This record gives sequence, C-alpha cells and structure tokens, in this order.
Amino acid sequence: MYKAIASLLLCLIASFANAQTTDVIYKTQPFGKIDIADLQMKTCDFEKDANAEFLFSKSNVYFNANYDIVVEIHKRIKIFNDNGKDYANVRIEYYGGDRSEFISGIQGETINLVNGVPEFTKVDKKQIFSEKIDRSKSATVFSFPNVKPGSILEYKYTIVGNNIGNFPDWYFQTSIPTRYSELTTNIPDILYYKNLESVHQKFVVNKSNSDGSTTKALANVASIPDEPYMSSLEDNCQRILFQLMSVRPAGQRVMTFSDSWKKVGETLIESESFGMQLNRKITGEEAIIAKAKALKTDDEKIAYLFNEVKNSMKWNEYYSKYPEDGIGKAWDKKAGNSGEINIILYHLLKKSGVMVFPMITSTRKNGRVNPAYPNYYQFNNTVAYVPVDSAKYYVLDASNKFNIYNQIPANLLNSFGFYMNKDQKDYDIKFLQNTTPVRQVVLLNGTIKPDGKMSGTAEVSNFGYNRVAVVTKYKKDGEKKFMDYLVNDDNNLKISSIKFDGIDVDTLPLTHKVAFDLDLTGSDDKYIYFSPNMLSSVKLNPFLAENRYTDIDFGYRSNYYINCTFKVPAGFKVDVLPKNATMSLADKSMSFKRIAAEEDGTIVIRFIIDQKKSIYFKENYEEFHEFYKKMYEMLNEQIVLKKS
Amino acid sequence: MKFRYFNVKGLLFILAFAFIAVNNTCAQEQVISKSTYLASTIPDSLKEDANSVVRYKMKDITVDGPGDISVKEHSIVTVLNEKGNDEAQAVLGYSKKYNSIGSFEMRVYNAAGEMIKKYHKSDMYDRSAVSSGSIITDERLMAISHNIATYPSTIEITYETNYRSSINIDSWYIQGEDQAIQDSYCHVAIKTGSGFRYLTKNTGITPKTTTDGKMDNFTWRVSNLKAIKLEKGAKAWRVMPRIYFAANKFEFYGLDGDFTSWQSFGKWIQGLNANVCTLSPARVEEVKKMTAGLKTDKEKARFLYEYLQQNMRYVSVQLGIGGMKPFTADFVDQKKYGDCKALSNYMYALLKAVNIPANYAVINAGANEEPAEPGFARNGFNHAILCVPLNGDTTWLECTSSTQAFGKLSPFTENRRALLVTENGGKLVNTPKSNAQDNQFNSQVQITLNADGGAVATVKIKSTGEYRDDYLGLANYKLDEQKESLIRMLNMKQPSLLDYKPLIDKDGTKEVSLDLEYDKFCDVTAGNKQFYRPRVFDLWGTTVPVLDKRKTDYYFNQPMMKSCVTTINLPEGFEVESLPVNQNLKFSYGTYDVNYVYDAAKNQVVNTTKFTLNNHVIPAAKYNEMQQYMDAIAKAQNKKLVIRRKA
Repeated sequence: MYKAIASLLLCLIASFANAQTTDVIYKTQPFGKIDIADLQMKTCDFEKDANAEFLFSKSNVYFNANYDIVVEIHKRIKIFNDNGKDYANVRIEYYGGDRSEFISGIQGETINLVNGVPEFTKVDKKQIFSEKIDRSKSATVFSFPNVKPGSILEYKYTIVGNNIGNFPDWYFQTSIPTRYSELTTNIPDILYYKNLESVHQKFVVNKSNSDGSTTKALANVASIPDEPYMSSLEDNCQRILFQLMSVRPAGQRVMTFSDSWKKVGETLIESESFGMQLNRKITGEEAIIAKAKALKTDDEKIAYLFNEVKNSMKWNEYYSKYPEDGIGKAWDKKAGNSGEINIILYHLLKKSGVMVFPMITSTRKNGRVNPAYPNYYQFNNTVAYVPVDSAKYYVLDASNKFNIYNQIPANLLNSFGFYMNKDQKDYDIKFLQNTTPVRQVVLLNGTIKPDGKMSGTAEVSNFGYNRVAVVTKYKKDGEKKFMDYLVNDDNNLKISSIKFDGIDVDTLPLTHKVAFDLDLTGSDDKYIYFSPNMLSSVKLNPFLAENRYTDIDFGYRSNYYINCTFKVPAGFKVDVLPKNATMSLADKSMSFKRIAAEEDGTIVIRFIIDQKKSIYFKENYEEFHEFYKKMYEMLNEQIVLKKS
Repeated sequence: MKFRYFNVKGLLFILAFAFIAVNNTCAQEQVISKSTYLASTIPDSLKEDANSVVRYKMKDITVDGPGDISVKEHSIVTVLNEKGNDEAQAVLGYSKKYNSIGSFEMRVYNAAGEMIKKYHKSDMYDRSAVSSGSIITDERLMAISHNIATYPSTIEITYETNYRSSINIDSWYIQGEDQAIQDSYCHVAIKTGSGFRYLTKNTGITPKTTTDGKMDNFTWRVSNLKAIKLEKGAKAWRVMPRIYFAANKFEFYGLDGDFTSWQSFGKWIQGLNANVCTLSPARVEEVKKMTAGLKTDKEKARFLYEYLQQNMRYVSVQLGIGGMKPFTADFVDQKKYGDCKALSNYMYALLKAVNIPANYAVINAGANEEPAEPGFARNGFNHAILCVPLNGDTTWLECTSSTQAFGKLSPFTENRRALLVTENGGKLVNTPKSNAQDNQFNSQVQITLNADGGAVATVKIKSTGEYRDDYLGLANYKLDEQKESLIRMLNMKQPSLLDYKPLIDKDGTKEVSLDLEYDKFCDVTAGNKQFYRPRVFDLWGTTVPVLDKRKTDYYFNQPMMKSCVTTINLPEGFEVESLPVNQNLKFSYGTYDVNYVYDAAKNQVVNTTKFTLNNHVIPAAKYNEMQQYMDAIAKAQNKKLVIRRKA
C-alpha cells in the first residue's frame, strides 16, 4: 500500500513537472549539472512519439587572437527508448585532413537515474577514436557507455578553424526534436557576415550581449519532417548560414564581397572560374555555329543547339555553377558537370546570334533562393537564359538527357534564377515558374465479355513534365520494363501491344497506345465488377498522413482528364453506376469532377482533376487531406453489371 | 520508407574484407590482339541481356606463403549501356599496416578501340572504409570512377595488390550479373605443399595444373559465357559461377592461423577469445547472486540473455585484429555496448560465471545466405552468435538483438551451417530451421456495418517470428508514419479514423490493435444493395510474375502461417444477398482456405481465412504452380459480399 502511494506521488510530481515545462523557456546548463526532472521525463512533451530528444544544443562561436574561428559545442540528448539508442553513437566530421580545422577538449558522459540519484559515467578517453577519412576530412567517433531508456547523454568539444570564409552553419532542427537550441556568435569589427536565416518559429532569445556577442535561440523545435511533395529538406529545416561580406583590416582598404545583386553579378562575371569561362572556344564550333546561323528563327536555332549539346555531352550527374575542367576540355571529353554543359550551350547560342545570358539557379533539392540575400552561395547550377519578350523566356539546361528546350526543368521551378547581362550591366533575379497546367489525358475503350473478362485499348497522352517523366522511364528501362510498370504486378492484366507517338519530337505530347486484356476477378456467377480508372497515373493516394508539417509543393499545376467507354455484354445490364459528382476545395484551388452515363449498353465515365495551384499550404491540410481521400475513393469506385 | 526492422540486419562484422596480395608472379598473360578493344567484334549472342562484356580478364594470384599473397589483375571490359557503368569504377581495399596497393592503371577506349583517357594510382581517392553498418574501422580504400560519355566504351584496368594479412585467398567470381564473358582466366601459383584446394560452384570447369616442385600452378579458363540475369527471388550464390580457394596456413594481423580443417580454424578463433571471455571475480559473484534463485540452467540462461538484451546495445566498432577479436567481456560489462563478437563473447562469459557451458559460433548472416561447406574450410563468415548446449536442449542466442525471443534465431541466421567453437576446435553444425508455426500472423477482426455504407472495425493481430519483427520495427517511426505503413503493408482502404495501439510483447508474441472508422466502407451502393470487400485487409499480398520457364529456385525468407477471422455485423434491416464462394486452394508447399458462414439469427457473416507456406524454398520446377496458386489467392480475395435491405 505504501509503495503504491509512493509511486502515485512520484507520478504526480512527474506530471506536475511536465505541466510546468510547457511555459518555461529551457536553458542550457553547465556540463555535469542536471535536473532530476529531466532524468525522470518519459516522453518529449511537444513530440510524443520521439525516440530521443536534444534537451539542448548550444554553440558558441568567436574569433581568437589569430582570427581563427573557434566553435564550442555542447549537446545534451535524452534517450526515451531502445529505438533512440542509436543517438548514443556520435560521429563528428571536420576538415582535419588538410589541417584547416582541429578538434579538442572532447568530453562526454552518460547520466542515469539510479535510486533517485544521478549516476555519471564518463566516456573513456581511450574509446574516443580519430579517423582520417580522406585528404581533407577527419572524424572523431565515440559511443556512450551504459545507455538505457531514460539515459541523458551529454558531450562537448571545440573546433578551431583557420578559414574565415567557412563560418559554421547552425541547424536548429535535426532528425529528432530539440527542446532548446542556442547559437551565440561574437564577430570582430573588421569582419562582416550576413546571416542567411531560415527560421519559421519565434526566437525565444534574440539579444546582444554586453561582450558584443549575439545570442539567438529557439525552443521546442520539432524533428525535421520528410513528406511527399515537400519542396526540400533545406527549405524546411530551420537554420542560420553565414556569408562573409566584407573584411576591414585596420587602416587598410575595405574588401567587400557581394552585397547587392549587381555586385554579385560583377564579381561572378569578372571571376576566372565563371565569367572568364564564358567565351572560350571549343573544338569544331565553327561548323555547329554555321549550321545554327543558317536556320531562320531563333526558336529553330535554340532547338538545334540545345539538342546538339544535350546529345553530345554526357552529364556526370553533378550540378555546379562552375566548370570543373574548363569548357574546352569538357567538350573534348564529351562529358562534364551542368555548369560546363550549359556554358557550352550559352557560348554556342551567343555565337549564333541568339540573345542569351548566363543564369545561375538552385535545384529543388538545393533549396529555394531567398531574394533578400544577394549572394551566389545559394545557387548550385548554371543554365542558359533566353528572354524572348516580356512574358516569354527560355531556361535551358542541357545536362539532363530528358530535358526539353521549351520548358523550364521541373527541378528549377518556384525558385529564382539570377541572370547576368554584362553589356547592359543588368544583373537581376527572376522567378521561374510554369503557370500552364500540365496535362494527362487517358482515353480508354473496353469491351466486357460475359465470362468476366475485358479487352480494350487505351490511349494515354502525357504533356510537358508528364511527358518528360514517361520518356525518362521508357528510355531508361526499355519497353518490357515500361509495360511491367503499367501492369504493376497485376497478373490479371496483360498488355498485348504498345505503340508510342511523338517520342522523338520534344514539343509534342507523348502518346502511348496499348491493347490490353483484363481478368475482372471480382466477378462471380451473378455480377461483374470493375474499376474504370485503369492505366492512369492517379492510382494511390500519396497523402495518407493525418498531419502535415510542410507546404505541399507540386512544382507546377496539373490537369487530368480520364474518359472511359465500356461495352456491356449481351445478357447483362448495369446494376450500379457511380453517381455524377463534383467537389472542390473551399478556395477553388482544386476540383474533381465525375460524370457517368449509360445508353444502349454503352457506359461512358469521365474523371477530371484540376489542380489550379502548384503550392498548397500546410495550414489547409485538413481540408486537402479529406479532399484527396474522397477523390481516391471516387476514382476507385467500381461499376457493377448484373446478369439479366 | 522502410517497413522492415533492420536492427539485426545491419550487423555484419567486417570479415568481409577478404584481402589478397602480389609480387613475382609468373607471367601468364595472354597475347591480346587489337580486336579485343573493338566493340564491333563482340558476338551478338554475348550482347543478349548483357550490360557489359568481359573481353579479356586475367586474375593472377601468387601465394608465396601465408603472409605473402599477391593478386594481379588485368581486365578489358566493354560497357554496352548505362547499367554497366560500374565497370568504369574501381575500389581497392587496403590497410595501413599490412595490405597495400602496388600499382593501378585504368584506360578508357572508344568503340573503335582508340584510347581516350588514362588514370593512374595517384588519381585515386583515398578514404576510410567506414560504412553505414560500422561507426569506425581500421580498413581503408582507394577508389576511382570514370564517367562514360558514349556507349559502347571499353575499360582496361590493371592493378596489383599485396597482402601480408589475410584469412582467405581471394575468390574468383567469374561473372557478374548481366555480364557476358568472352575470355577470362584465373591463375593461382602457390608453394608446393601448402595444402591448396579449391571449390567450384555453379560451374563444372576444371583447371590445368603444373608444378616445378617448388610452386604448383593452376589455370582455369572460361570463354563465351552468356550473361546471366538473376531471376526475382533467386539467390546469387545458387546461380552465379565462382571458385573459392583455400590453403592450410594463413597469417592475419601478424598471427599465424591454421585452416587445415574446420577444427583447426575453430581452434584459432578460440585462441583469440581465450583471454577476453572471463568476467572479473567480483562480477562473477554478482552474476551468481542475480541467478541464485533460479533452479534450472535454462532459466538462468534465459534470465541472463534478457539481462543482456535490456542492458547492452549493439555498436559496430571494427578495430584491432581485423575486426576478428572480441572486446573483453569486462569492456562490454562496463560500457554496456559491443559488436556481434563482443556481445556473443560477453554472453558466453555471463553463462560461464554460473557454470553453464556455451559455444561461440561464427556464421554467414543474411536471409538465405550461403552456408559453410563441410568439406571445404574457408572463412565465409560475417557474424557471431552463441550456442548453449544445455544438455541436449540446444539453445541458440542472437546477442545483438534487444528484442529477439530467447532461443529463437531468425531468417538472418537460421537453417544453415555455422562454425561452433569448442574446446576441441571448430565443428560445423546446423542452426535450427524455423517452421511455419514459428512465423505466425493471427488476427481477429470485428466489423460493424451501418446502413449508409460506413463501418467501424477493430483489428487484433498476434504475431510471432518475422511478423513480430515487423510490428516491433514500426516503433522506430513516428506515429503518422506508422499508420501510413500499416495502411500500405496490409493494403487497407484508407479509413477516416485510425487508432493504432502497439499493445504488449510477451513470450515471443507481439499483440497490436487497430481501431478503424470508415464513413464509406462499402465498395458501391445501389438502391437497396451494398457491395463489400468483406475484409479490412488482405491476408496475402504477393503475386509473382508469369514466366515461361523458371530456371532457378525461388526463396521466401521463411515459412509462415497466417489466419484471420472476420466477423461482419450487418446493419439492421439488411440481409445477405450473396456470399463469396468458399475456396480451398493449394500447391505443393502450402494452402489457402477461405470460408464464409452467414448466421441469419445474429445477422452476421463470419469469414475464416487461413494461409500456410510450409517451405520457403520453391524449386524452379514448382514455380509455375506457385504463380498460379498465388494468382488464385489474389482472385479469391477480390470476391464480393452483397447485402440488401430486407423486403
């Protein structure tokens, strides 16, 4: 009895402690000082299903007398259960191979609650290993001892680096939740860094300290989500990056780095690694240019040169703003990074008399460009930019074999490109978007037989980005695998023939026509059942998750049109036909329509999905989620025929 | 997203670095004609199904002694398409102290056989061989990669490696997947009297042998081998041709070893473990005290295994003697972590403290992986486990898992030969084979339909063996992801509400429950009728491709048994119009039975479905039978229940 009361009391205390914590702003604590409440804590209060949590994560960055950057890190991790134990293995990588950074003062300890008292177990110094990874990188590796559910692990270390251009990034958000994350920076007057902040929460601390340093902190930061149609991890992860803008040595001339778009442009265009590469000659260019010049319109010239470069060059799968080996060498090797390939394209277009400018862009994975931060650090790719008139322009990336010239590559959409027109001294950013909806049209004709089988034909036309996706799949995998993909492991579906229309003309939609036989296996001696939505690409709902933490970014608008005609066999009649239905999101940004009719033994059913926006905000996810659920229900609703 | 639980699966310890070596090789190189570099001279028959064609290859292994092995390789490979790009990459392992890379060169030729690029050893990227499985290792690697611009291209690689520490002599993997061979040689020169032997797998070729009394020479040759496409569900070690080599002595990190027999290799491992497998006397006393109240050795073993599972965690640290010698039992005891060797050795020490004998055992881990060969001792192991004889009640323990049930192995290590380390040296023994009863998924489902087509349902699942692992593994993910995984894994219709409860895990059985609500559960509704898929999820979701002729055996991970009893309460005022037909399907290795009963008094339909797979290896000859059987199951699962409003 006594024991029961004692444990009840303990629970009360624990829950009281928890209740308190919701309003308290957590702080860091010195190494080795610990609250019992943290040891008793059973779950993360703002992310109940977390297996582990950073209680705090603290970085103090300052410069020593040699102008080396000194970074002091102190982290404390709470392990909630066995699945969180992997966080007890620590690997710190740094630039130690080239001696530009070194690590010191590593200490770690595991803290467990034993009989109500904290028990500290130090990480054995002999069990802290240094590993030389390669010429530039090294790692310090260790594992915490004595780790069990409930343990708190803490460690600290210092890294000193001698490259002022390499100011350490700070990520407030990681793969597990963080209760408190704090960054203090103290930068001497002669250096000026610009902060590239990507922070969606309110700072709980944002102040200047008496010693001249600045402290910023976030509290209760959720773990990084990984969701379908999330723009990128980089966009959604809360962090601060630092860019060196200027150096003002005492009594000397100020060295300024880019601080306006104009300045960024001038710096790049004058640089050896970029601007000086733009007009290098390549072997055999005269013949290509002559051929281009003979073409009448700019469009023809662009199409010809784009395909010439795309087909000649093998991309090495690396995006880069800069040529690695120089464009002459890349051209001779017939291989290179995206910068090399597109600077070659730029060069040929210019020589052929097309108005073209180099443009740097950021791929979706690299993250959206923030227009308020003029710098080239945010970009990872170079393309050729051709303005046609006030509305029309081309963004040409010839590195990916499946890109087409008259469509902005999908992975550059909804971000900014930065173009450089040296002659006009015009250096500016441009928002890259695709406003016309990208279509898929499915026309299906099926004849149903009394034995519960269907044979028919389908014509699937893919436009724009959908076309690119299909061509990529077909060319990479071949016809047999493409058919397997259509069949999707359904042994009841057999495709007897496939024919492509327009595969070699980039500007046309790609249509594949298939003849198929399908066993309608749900059928029995009384009824025939089948789902009309076959062979389209809207089959599985990607939005099953109940919650959403990031905006949904499709990249572009979409429009699906599915029209099916079925012939009912003699001796059967339609028993159930899906009802006509229309629904849309409250702001009309997406709509779904189903129309079904039957006449003289022929069923016609049509589905139209119209996504009128490319980005849907997480705040409206509840409605969006329900819309998708209903839409997929309706898309998969079956038709029933009955023996008469 | 990963649905599988990978805790045990990532635990390979690095014996995998089977290194080799080179010096004064007898020149066996063949004369290479210019046409070897021409893409146009490849016969069409070799291009079929091939991503690359080996035009010429010479692998030359010289064993001057156990601590002096060299490998020299010269290869000319034509890459036909992008999927053969790996041929333009080279990764060579080495270690600072013992193993070195002597020379390296890679040349690239165009289709016409003209050289367009040359790489040297100095162009290679040098890095630590740390992988996702381990947190740190002594091993290093050098790598290079060429970006092929046009196809076909031909890649010529020559290298020499020198090994002063290696348990094995490098194997000859004759053919890669989707790779044809025009002409390929392997030559082994080894000191006479070394006890050299070889094991030929999936090929019948024999060597030419010569000897001068000092060195014995063996030369194998293959030519005009068509590309092999590994069929879905096949295991490479059953299909791909290869030759393994072994000699009586080896040298490893300065230690002499004897590979005359399994017995002698076991002895060597025992030697490594001998001075690390004892706990301090004080800890021995404590361990004795902990188990004092327990009567039998089995109870004590179970208690100590659970103690290990609750307190120790798996960390891969590959340092010291090539990742072969465990950390001391005391180290694990204090730090509470270790790799598979350290944890197995620690478990051994715990049992030893209470006088229960056990045997450390090494094994080749991974589902359906290649077992050790009784007559051919070589090191093909990558994992360690523990065997406790318990006077005939032999009990096997997987010491790296915090969740495995006491005495149960899993597909990761079951049903194959392991090397048991005993006082008398090594002994090959079979690990137990799990049967269908060991891997069960049993479920009870209650569905209450309402008149407008919606439903509420509760699902209770009890799982053992691999199914239990699936549900334990879910706990690694966030709740939203767990729910999403369940909907996809079980192929459920998306519910309006899903409440998942990972209930209890006891005695090797994991119980979970799902509470579901559907605003629309019926497939379609028409007038007074409703049509249903009469279940919440599919019991069996696999179908296999239709093939004309299957060439190789198909592997499931384990035998298994599934059942589901679904009780469907009809809405008031409704009755059954038609029930799906009952079916009893079978094939050589399993059965599927589905049965529907309508109880008009209770207005209830009870659906009982049972699936059994008794054997997890399906011989090629039975493949078509299985394919048709699984298609028949898919069809049976598609049948509808029709109910109607009572007149």
